[in-house]
Amino acid sequence: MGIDVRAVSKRFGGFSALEDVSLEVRSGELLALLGPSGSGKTTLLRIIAGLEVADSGSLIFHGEDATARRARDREVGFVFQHYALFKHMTVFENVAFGLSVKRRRLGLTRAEIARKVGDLLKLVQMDWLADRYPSQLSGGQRQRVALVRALAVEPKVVLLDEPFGALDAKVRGELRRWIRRLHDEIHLTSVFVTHDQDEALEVADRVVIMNQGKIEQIGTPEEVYDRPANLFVYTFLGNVNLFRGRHAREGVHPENGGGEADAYVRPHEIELFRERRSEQSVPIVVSHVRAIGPIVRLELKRADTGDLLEAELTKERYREIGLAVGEAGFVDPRNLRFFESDYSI
Amino acid sequence: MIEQALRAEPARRSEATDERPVVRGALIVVALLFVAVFLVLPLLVVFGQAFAKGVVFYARAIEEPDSLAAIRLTLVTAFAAVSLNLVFGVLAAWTIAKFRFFGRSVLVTVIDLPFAISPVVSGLVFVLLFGAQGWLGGWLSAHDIRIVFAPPGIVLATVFVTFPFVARELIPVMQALGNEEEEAAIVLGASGLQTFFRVTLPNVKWGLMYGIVICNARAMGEFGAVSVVSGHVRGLTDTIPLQVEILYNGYSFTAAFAMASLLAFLAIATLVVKSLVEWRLSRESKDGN
Amino acid sequence: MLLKERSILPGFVPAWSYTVLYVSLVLLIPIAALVLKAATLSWPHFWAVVGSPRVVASYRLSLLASLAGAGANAVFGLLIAWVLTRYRFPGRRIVDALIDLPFAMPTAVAGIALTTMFSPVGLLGRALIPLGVKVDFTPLGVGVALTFIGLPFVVRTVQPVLLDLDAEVEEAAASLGASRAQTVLRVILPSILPSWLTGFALAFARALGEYGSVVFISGNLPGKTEISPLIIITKLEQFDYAGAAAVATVMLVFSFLLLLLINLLQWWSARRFEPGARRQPA
Repeated sequence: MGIDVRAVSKRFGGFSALEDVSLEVRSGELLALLGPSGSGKTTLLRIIAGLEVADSGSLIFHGEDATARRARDREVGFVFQHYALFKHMTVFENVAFGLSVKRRRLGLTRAEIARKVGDLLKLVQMDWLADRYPSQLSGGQRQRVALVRALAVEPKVVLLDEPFGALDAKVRGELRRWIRRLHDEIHLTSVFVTHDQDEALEVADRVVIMNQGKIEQIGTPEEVYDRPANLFVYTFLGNVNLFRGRHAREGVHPENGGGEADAYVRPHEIELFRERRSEQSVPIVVSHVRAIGPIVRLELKRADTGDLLEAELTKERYREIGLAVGEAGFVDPRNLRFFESDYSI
Repeated sequence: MIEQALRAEPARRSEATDERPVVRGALIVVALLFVAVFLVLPLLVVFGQAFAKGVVFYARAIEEPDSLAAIRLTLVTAFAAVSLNLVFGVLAAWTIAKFRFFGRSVLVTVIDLPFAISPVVSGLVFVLLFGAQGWLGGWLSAHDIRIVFAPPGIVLATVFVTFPFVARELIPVMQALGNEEEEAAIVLGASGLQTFFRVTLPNVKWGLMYGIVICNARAMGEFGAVSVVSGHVRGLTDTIPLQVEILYNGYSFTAAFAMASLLAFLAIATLVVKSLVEWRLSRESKDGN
Repeated sequence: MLLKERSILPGFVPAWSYTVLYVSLVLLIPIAALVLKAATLSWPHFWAVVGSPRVVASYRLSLLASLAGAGANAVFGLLIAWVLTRYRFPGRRIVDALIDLPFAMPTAVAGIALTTMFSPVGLLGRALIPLGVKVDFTPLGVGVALTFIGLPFVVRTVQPVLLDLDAEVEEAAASLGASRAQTVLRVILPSILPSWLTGFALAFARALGEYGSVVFISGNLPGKTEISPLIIITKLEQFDYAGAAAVATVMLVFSFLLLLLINLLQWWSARRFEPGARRQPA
């Protein structure tokens, strides 16, 4: 099912959580809402679920206006950040809850519910946990139960609020892949909220980047990473080095360019040499080297301005150059980017 | 009020932030002495005096017709007051804990009022409303309805005095739990009543239980308010505390303490339930998250 | 319409309506009846009643004895809360549970028990009277009874704050060179001050209106050991309903003022220790 969010705004007291946000969630896709805290992403998710009511704007579910539809009638599955599992119910009872409260409407017998829930738990290989209480589960298991509980009522959309937020790094990785696989298997429209750019870029089909109640950019992970719409998106998606305006390469100034535009480059887009390669080469001194794993991270100090730069090289490349701490060299920024200067880092 | 954290053992403290053993010992001794004089001794006196003339005398004192009538009236009154305040307390807690609305803090303060009002004043308001000289007195006597100096007045005064207890226990528990589980239930398709009975109620059951128990203890033990509206019609409008007063003022000390010991047992039982509830809550909060 | 933030949880209108209706019927209308009754007196008459020497003496006793009781609780309550939260000793759990006894024990029962304890033949009376300390039938007795009933308030308001106090803060003070006494006076006491004052005010409010535990031990000597609630009872027994209502109204005003003070104190301590508790979605 596709969802159309049209011109939605929401205020909490004096705080504007969402300002005129429009967004189309395509049927069957896995969409990430990415942004820093306070950017309005969770509010947007809760409005889609019917947990909050927008001050203005409308929601279209599969071509029908669902703005006024009650949460319980939206056929939306919601996975809460802290899972919101019913503490006094077993895993089985938690998963069965949605079906059992609608038992009469759905015309199901208790036995049918038990069978359905049993099948579902088996599908996700959690049947052995059926009689446990939430307090007896690990964080990753709780997260899975919360998702399975949401799926049990066969929703048309699943909404996940920071699904990996409370988990440690290893479990996060496993769970990410698990959710991606599950999504590919059942082809459900899914929207998840995250503040972790790696997570969004790794898991989602498309990423919506939000900031201060507005959408900054929507696109596939490649699009937003390679062609960021503005400085906010660029800096939010990875580490950044700043080259102040007067040192930016000549001739590459943007149209607003009176020569003072700042230029940006990611650490892995900086090339390091012993000798000057070109006019644009910038003299540096190596101030710190951290060589852990396949990537070597260097902190470089510009000899001309004293600004600090960050560079990332492969181990092989670093060995070729062999610059140690305190030695001088040159860098050439590849792929310098310019943004209109109404954003600040 | 229930404090979940109170069951926690005092943590071992580092040398730098602990008192010297002498100071520590002195503080403990003074605190325990105060507790002994003001809490333990009165309790011992009640039971000591109640059984001063033996178990047979004790049993006979309680089997007095007036005493039995007082016990009966106390039970009926407490049942009525607890039931009324239970329904109110649950609805008030739901309103206050789950919603933000204009006038919310005023409502919270108003519910606390009976804590601050003298029990004598609480009884008086009903005499002034329903008594022979009261605003509705004429109408009531014309229709031959007795409220003051009769059991209905006792129930009303008790309801007034014990009014906040269930609500006050439930509000913090419900607030602490937040709305997430209820939201989850509703997104999963549960109706309002299903959400309340299947999600909210099981989560607050311990707080609710203590609310009922303390409300009951206060209802059974209420003295000031009830003594104003009772009129002391022997065997008809005397509750256990009033019977204690009558016996005591009539110099039947042992019998007075025998009746009093019933209420002291109730108080101890109430404290036991409170400790159990706190223990359960601290275990649950340790399990959860 | 009810001004309320939107919420998807159901049942606000019926629950709110029932709550307000019940509060009005059980609480507000009866209190209004009291104030209206007092208003049937003319101003001079009203002042004559509430300002008569015997009544004024009862205010004095009620205020002073309540202050003494609440003061004793402030000191010993703080000490007990400290001992319960900081030290391990045998019987700690039982003492902790016992603290609520005055809350659960009927006041009349406490009254006769205290009177018996302090009577000339009682456990403590026997020891105290030879020392020249007479408790029963004196203002001191009133203070003792009011100390008993106010005991849980200070302990139970201070205890959670003491528990929440971060041990690291004390360790920081110690590592910065503060002596233990300095740490207690300059770090711990200021943090528990709002809740301590709240507990004191709660104990004071409770003591002002107390009746059951006092009437037995006080002896009710007019002008000497007669508390304000007892004045109301006496006036009722003389069928002076308007007079009773007048004194009750004065007490009610005291109660309201104290409730206001307590709310301010709680607001202060909440503001001081829970900054930014405002709900704000991510």
